[in-house]
Amino acid sequence: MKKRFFKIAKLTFMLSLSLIVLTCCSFSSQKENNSKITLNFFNQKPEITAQYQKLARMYHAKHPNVNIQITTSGQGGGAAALQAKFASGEAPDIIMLGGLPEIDRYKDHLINLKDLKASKNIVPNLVSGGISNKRMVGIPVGLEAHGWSYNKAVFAKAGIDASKINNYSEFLKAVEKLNSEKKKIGIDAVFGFNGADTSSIASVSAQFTSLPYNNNLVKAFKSKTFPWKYERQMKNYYDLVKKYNVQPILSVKYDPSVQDLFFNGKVAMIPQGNWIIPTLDGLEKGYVQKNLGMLPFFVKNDGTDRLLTGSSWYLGITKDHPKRQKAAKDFINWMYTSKEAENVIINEMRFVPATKNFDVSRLPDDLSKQIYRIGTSKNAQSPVHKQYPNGFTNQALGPYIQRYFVNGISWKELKKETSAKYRQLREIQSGE
Amino acid sequence: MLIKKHQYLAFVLPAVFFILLIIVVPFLIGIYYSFTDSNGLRSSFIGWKNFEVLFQDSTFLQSFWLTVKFSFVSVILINLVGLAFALIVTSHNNRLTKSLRTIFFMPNLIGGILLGFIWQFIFTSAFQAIAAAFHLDFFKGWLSNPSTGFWGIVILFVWQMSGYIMLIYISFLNAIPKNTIQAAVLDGAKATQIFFFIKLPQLAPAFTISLFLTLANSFKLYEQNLALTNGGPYRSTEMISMYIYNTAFVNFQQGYAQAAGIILFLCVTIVSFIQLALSRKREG
Repeated sequence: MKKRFFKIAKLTFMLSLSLIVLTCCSFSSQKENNSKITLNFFNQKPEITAQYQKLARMYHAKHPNVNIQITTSGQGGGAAALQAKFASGEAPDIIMLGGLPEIDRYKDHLINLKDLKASKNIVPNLVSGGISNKRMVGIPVGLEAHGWSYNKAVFAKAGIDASKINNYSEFLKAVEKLNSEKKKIGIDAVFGFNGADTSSIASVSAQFTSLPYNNNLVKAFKSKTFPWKYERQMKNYYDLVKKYNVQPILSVKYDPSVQDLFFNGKVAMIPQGNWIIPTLDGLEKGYVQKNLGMLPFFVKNDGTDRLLTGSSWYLGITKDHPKRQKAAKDFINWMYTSKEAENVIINEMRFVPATKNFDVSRLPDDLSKQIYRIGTSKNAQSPVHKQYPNGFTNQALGPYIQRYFVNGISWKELKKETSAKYRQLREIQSGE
Repeated sequence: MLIKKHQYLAFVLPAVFFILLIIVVPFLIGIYYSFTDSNGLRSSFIGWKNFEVLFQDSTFLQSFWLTVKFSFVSVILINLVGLAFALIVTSHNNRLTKSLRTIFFMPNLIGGILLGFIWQFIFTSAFQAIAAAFHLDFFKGWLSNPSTGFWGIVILFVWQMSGYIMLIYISFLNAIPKNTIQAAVLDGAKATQIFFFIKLPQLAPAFTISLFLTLANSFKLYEQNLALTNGGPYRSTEMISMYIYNTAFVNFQQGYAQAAGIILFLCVTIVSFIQLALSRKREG
């Protein structure tokens, strides 16, 4: 009997020892001094991690008892990583969310930011992208513009004046001219669209799906149908890309398209936004100011078409750790209202701020200034691709349009399949 | 006697505890979630609806069919290649065959993700260079075409698994009593006759193990798929595991994905049992 007891005791001891070893790691990290606070910031944009870390250090220098721990996960894995954080009970304090479907998933965890100093200053067009159940739970990270990024040097060589392109037929003429003088101006093809990336396909699709919602992103998020109102122009542009793009179009990927094809002047245009600015200037200082221009898509084709301007990402604060909420709010306020933080954001992240009454002359290049003016004007239109149902971009729209690019599907079938998938995904996901 | 019995328990219990905790409990929870509309954070019970929708989901059926095709092709190829490797390295016992053993086994030591990237380089850059140098259209754009993309994954998987399966065949080949072969040689049997009538029947248990391993592995294939094609072009090479992952962590339909996972589990179990039963019978 004694022996048996001894054995069981030993067994229990071993088991509990291993459990202690397993848990003590997590305990030690959670130990927190009352006066010292560590904020967890979940970032989904890997390309600006270094700048966020810099902001965190600057803030820490001013507020020594606030530490900001930045976790970055992006490039498709971000959403799943964020969910894992919540599931494991380690909800971050500040989270970066991409679009209303993602905001909706965490709506029960997010606090209302309406009274925040930072939120009062947000460009009005962008506010609806952070609204859930009539509460303002997200504030935009920055103002982004999407259209045709063109290489000024290539346009100049072909004798094309971009300011004279004001409607679709003029755009078409320019494309044809570029194509006929391909050899002379040294380009491989007119367009360098990265057909391999479904996210870029989604950004382009937004050019044709956003206008019907007129900046009401909540409406776009709730829509049960995919808007085909501008399908004729959509097809025109896709056919144009199909015809004049670097081939095989599905093998062109994002990085080569920006860093090689566009940067080296092997193509005249790529459909990208101002998020390519840091990459281009990283390759050659001053490249953007000298070489990068942007043209809108001519969708309505009535002279009112502008670059689409919106924000793909929003910041929210969670209520899982009430003790840290105030510190999180203070940090966000500091990021959006202090001059030193703004300087990092505009000069190092190369973002265009999403705040009203910003002094345009502080922006480092003409394109950013132009984007700020368009984004804060009356005609501004926000893109809606981030409001598509979860998975619609990667699982439906992207693959169908890729199929269309290689003639694997007709336009009619594409419409039918895309609409059906959109409805199906939206219905399943709006259940909650 | 009593002490012995408890000693046994003491050794087994910790393992049982962890198996329960890590495998059985999550598995049961998983079965429950397949009847919910869980999005990972919230869930409510919806009965058989997931399964009903699943069997009408063309994408699911397509990727399921692709996985069946893939498993069929790769099980046959891996076992053929693995057996051929084993015969080559056991035919003689010299330095060459010894180094070949290592070389054939090497791909198995590299992780699936890395292998995927290595072969991606081969299929895109190396093949492209061959195509350009010799003007052979056959080598062009392997991964941007659904059928060559499929064969790309097959080649990668065969390359990775054959060495491992080879090891199993080697051990069984070495276990064949030398005297039976010698007797056959004395009776004037040719090499092919020795292989088909002496070696092959005695390899039956090896087939059981190898078929089981390759079958289960090819049904569950994920990381090679991810690294090589990531389902592209336009989801045409998306196998069932990748479909499940994407449904769960891209679409955030986790109950639905769980239902697909249960279907996959049932299929793998049934197919493996049939295969085991059949080849056991032949072993007997």
